[in-house]
Amino acid sequence: MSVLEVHNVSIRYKTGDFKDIGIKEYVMRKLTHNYHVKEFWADKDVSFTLDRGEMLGIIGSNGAGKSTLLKAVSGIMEPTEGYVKCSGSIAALLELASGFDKELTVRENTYLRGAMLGYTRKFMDEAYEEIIRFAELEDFQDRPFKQLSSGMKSRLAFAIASMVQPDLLILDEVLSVGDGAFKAKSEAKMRQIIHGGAATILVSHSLRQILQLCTKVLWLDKGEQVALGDTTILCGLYQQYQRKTMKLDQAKKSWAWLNGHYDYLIVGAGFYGAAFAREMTDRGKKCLVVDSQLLPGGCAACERVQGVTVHKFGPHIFHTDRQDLWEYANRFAEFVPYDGGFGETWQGVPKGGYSAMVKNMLKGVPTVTGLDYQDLARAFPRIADKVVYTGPIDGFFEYRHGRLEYDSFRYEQEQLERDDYQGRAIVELKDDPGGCTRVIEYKHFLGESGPGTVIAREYPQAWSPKRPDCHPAGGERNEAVLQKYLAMAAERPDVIFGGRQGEYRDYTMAGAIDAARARAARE
Amino acid sequence: MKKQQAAARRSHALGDLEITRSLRKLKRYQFLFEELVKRDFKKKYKRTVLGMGWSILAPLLHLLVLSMVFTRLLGRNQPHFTIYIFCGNLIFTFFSDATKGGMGTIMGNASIFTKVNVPKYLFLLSRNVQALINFGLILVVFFIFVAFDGLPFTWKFLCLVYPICGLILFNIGVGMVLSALFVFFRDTQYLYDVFTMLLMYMSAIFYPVTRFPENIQRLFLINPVYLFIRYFRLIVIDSAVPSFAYHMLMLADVAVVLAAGCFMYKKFNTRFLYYV
Repeated sequence: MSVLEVHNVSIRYKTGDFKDIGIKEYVMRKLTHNYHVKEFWADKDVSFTLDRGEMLGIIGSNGAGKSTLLKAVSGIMEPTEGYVKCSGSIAALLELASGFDKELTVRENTYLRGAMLGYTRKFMDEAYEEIIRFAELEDFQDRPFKQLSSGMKSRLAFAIASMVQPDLLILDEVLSVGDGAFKAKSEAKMRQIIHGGAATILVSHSLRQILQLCTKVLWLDKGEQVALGDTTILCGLYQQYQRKTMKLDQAKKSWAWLNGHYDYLIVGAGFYGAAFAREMTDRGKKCLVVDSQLLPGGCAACERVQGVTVHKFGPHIFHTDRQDLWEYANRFAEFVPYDGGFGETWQGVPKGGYSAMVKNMLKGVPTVTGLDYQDLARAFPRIADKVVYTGPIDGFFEYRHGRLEYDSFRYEQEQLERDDYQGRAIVELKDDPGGCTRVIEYKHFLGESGPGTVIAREYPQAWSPKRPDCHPAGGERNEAVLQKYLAMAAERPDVIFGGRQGEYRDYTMAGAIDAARARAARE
Repeated sequence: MKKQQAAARRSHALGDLEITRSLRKLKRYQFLFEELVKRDFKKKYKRTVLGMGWSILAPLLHLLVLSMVFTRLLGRNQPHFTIYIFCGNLIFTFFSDATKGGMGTIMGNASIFTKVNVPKYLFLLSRNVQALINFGLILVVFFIFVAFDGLPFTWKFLCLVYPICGLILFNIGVGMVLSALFVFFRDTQYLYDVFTMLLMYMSAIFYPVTRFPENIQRLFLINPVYLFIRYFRLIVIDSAVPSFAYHMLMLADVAVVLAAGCFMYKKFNTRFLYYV
């Protein structure tokens, strides 16, 4: 049975003119109908349950209703609607450092706080020494409380509250104060309490802490329950929301999508993944696309810098000799022709960049960005019947046979004040003393105007596992390793490996689209 | 929560369960209550040199001034006039100390009850305990005065338990009403100051009511504080036990005030939160 059940809890909060007005003012305002009381829902329809050993993290920006919810759980407030059912003892630590009496000594405050938390005198007599030791306040016991720093106050508050083994422990911004050493100590203590079988609720602005400690997460926004579930996934979404790369309704939609069931889970929103998703969706299959990056487009992802469309991982030109592929690509973007380079019939760069083009390809296909496949597979193991994996194949098998190597380039981006740097998009350099092989001036791909320009210098560099993997390096060693991974892949009929990284093949963009469409046709 | 309410209702039906429940609750909060009393005590006397002695000395000095003014300057020489004034002063000091102190108990402990779920009346009770201790100390001095004044100690002095207990409950009731009102209107404090001053003059502390006509004298009985004062005087000075009706009148006053206080606490229990 769960320790805590919060069922459709709504709390109406009152605020307004009534604070700090006297009787005269109250009567006057009542008479002149000028007395305003604002009521709002601090929490609306919040539900969750908590079992022993579970730790719920509550996230949300200020005014999300976190503290009010905790007050309802701890019995300080009563829910306006719904109910809170708690079987067992509660230890609530709300806004810890406050609530002490600054006139009393540390010792007196310790006893008073212990009494407030429902301890007995006998227990306090026994635990007192330990509390002071844990809070590292041995030298302050008989000092007035006002001489303590805020860190010391929180330490003491935490030490007192963590002395017992409650059934439900409520922590509001408790672990956020104190130095690093104490943080580690308090987290260890927390773990001990949780392992002792307590259910815990933690409110913290530190996502790191929530990720480390919590077994599930409740996301509140303006009193509304946005999501309840897996810690890693929700923290990921929340972080995107915090960084304003994802709007709230997008986050809600993403969460709803993640809770659905699909025919295909497509990992990676590159050209292979996007084309596959497009084809299967058009065939009436349910697809979900996820990408660990925030921008779709894989290696060709583009972002706007100073009004210029910049290819984040080096210049990309769409080129093909096949009319069907060119026409297919033109369904999703208007291309600006590009002369030179590959000598193929159709060459161009899409207006608005590749990310926008891929977004068009994925129109109507649920897409969640900023999500790691490993986390997703752990949180939603049965989310889809089949997985299309376009990430690195060696990564999928946890690099069991070593890493596959890639040709790697470094791009040093620079924003210049002048309007034009080199008059064309790509200038190849030979024998540059700095080792630079190409200079790319992005505005010329699309003929973008505007003040300033953005250039990037390309330097080949030694491959390292940490860098973006775009061009498979090939060679005997890598081929041998690849064969081992392909053998493993053959034993996973539920996973389709595709694309440059998934197949370790140096596809062009057109080539990746072609391969994805062919694969989709075989499904 | 619902279960708890249901349980509460059930135990209502079974009176004895109710008693064990409140006893358990009392035991549960006993430690907190003790610590609160200690806190209030320490805070009150921390900054004064004389400490606790001051709270005895202050009313005594007040008494000294009153008796000097009335006996020496105004030439009043009613028998046992000092004890007469002392009775009034003793009771009124207890009343005003307990109620004025009790007024701020909800506001003053906002930082506690907004964080921990504890019964709010504990703060008021703790403050009242402090006032009671003060009262007890002065009461001892009062009895010494009584002995010096040559008044006989009779068995009737045991009856003083009645007005003392009544006044304790009365103070708690007034304190509850005031502390609740103070949360909503901060100027309650100033109004109450004016009110207590008025009440003091109407409590016949330093003048005898016998100077007024019968029907006016009866009007004094409306004032509950005067009832307590008069009870003391009757026992101590006149060695007379008041009538049964007089007892009932006091009881009614206490019951009404206490009921009003409990009603306010119950009604606003979860609403105080919004105002602090």
